[in-house]
Amino acid sequence: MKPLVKIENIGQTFNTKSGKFTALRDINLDISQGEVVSLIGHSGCGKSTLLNLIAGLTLPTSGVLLCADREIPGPGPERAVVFQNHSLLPWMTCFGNVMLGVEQVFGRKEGKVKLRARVEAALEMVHMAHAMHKYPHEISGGMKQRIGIARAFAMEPKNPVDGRALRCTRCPDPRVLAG
Amino acid sequence: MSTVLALKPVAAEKNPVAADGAIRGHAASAQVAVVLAVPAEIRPAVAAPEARPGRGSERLRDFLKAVIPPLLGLALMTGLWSMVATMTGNIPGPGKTWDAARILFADPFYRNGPNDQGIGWNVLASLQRVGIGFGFAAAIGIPMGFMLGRFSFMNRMFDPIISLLRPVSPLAWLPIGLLVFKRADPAATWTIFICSIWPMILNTAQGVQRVPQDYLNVARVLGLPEAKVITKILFPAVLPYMLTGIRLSIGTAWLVIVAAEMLTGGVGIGFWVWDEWNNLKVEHIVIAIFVIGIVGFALEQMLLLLARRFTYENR
Repeated sequence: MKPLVKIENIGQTFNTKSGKFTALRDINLDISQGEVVSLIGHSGCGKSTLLNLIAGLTLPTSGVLLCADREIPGPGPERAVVFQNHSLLPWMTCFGNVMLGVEQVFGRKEGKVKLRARVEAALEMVHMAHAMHKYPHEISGGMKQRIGIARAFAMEPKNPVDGRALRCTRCPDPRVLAG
Repeated sequence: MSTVLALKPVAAEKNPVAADGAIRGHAASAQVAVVLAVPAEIRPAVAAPEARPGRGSERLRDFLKAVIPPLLGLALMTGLWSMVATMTGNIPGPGKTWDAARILFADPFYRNGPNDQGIGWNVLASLQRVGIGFGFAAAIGIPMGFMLGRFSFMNRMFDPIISLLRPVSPLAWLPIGLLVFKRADPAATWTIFICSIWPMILNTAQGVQRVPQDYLNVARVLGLPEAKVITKILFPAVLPYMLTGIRLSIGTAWLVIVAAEMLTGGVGIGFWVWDEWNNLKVEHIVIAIFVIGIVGFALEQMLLLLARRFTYENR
């Protein structure tokens, strides 16, 4: 099976005050569509650095990252991210936070009613429909994480990247690539 | 397992929808049992504080705790004031000032020509100048703050200018204002503009620089266009900083307007203070000090209230 995500000889170095710091060196990884990949390692070993690279939030110092045979130029809604620290916008309700992404991806093609239905379905999936009009500071940490997951999945990405459990999906069942 | 679930029914009782869906699905039968069993032990603990006697007196004590210290402070000030008044002889004491204030506030909005108007008109004239000068400062300072915060090139470009001009007393700009506008009134407004613009630029720029990287990452991952980044992420995130800038500006503006009006004359609380000094009505000057203080305090509180409305709790 042809891999959806190809990671070839990735290296990432950061410039710090005390000189160069090599976070990743010679990483190779192929992920097929629907494959489940877990990244396991002690803290600080570079799991999140790799996830940020796949998400496109940072660019590698060497090597190539391909998604569907194209180089990852930067972040985009086709590679949704469930952030490690949830990163919900505190001035919007849970519904608003999920809607922000949905609107961006489907707003041009679909009407208001359909967009609402998408948001509600995503919140239902994570069992958070009852709290959709609450603000992030009114819900617990775990609930915030679930809203973050709903936001990522509601955009129907090729390859959602989960900060704690990186997920790859397009096929019916969610695939987990854990970080 | 049962200890974990034991907490659930309490929440479920008050707000049934708050129950965790995942747990409810897994252990529905166990939960029913706990719902029946738990209230007996939980209820007393919850009900106890309300049933405790003497709650009303506790509230009274809290109220007194909040009110007595400020009252004592005011009493101390009045005491010192009357002491100084009796010692010096030419400063009016609280009693004399109070009598003068009653006459003054009986008709705050009279008009006997341009140089003799009620204290109400004077305060309003000053507020109007502050409002206009401040409005212009906001209209220019806030967008500029956004630019300085967003582009480090701009920041470095304007940094020497702002560093050089900010410590200058706005009154030093008054002659320039008089020269350019040829009239006293816009010149006073001009000084307000100058003193208001710095905190506005600097706080807005700082706010923009401090927008959490997480929020900007969200914008990048969602692929939000620049217009939406500004309205949905930057503006709400910067708003608290902007309001701090506005609060500092208004505070300084209210300090400066009194001095500016003393120099320019016309109508206004600063001019009024100077006029009453020329009339040797010292009790009126004392009243003006109180009025200026109360108006400044009210402005500050209003903006604090506004800021509280737009401060979001993080995490």
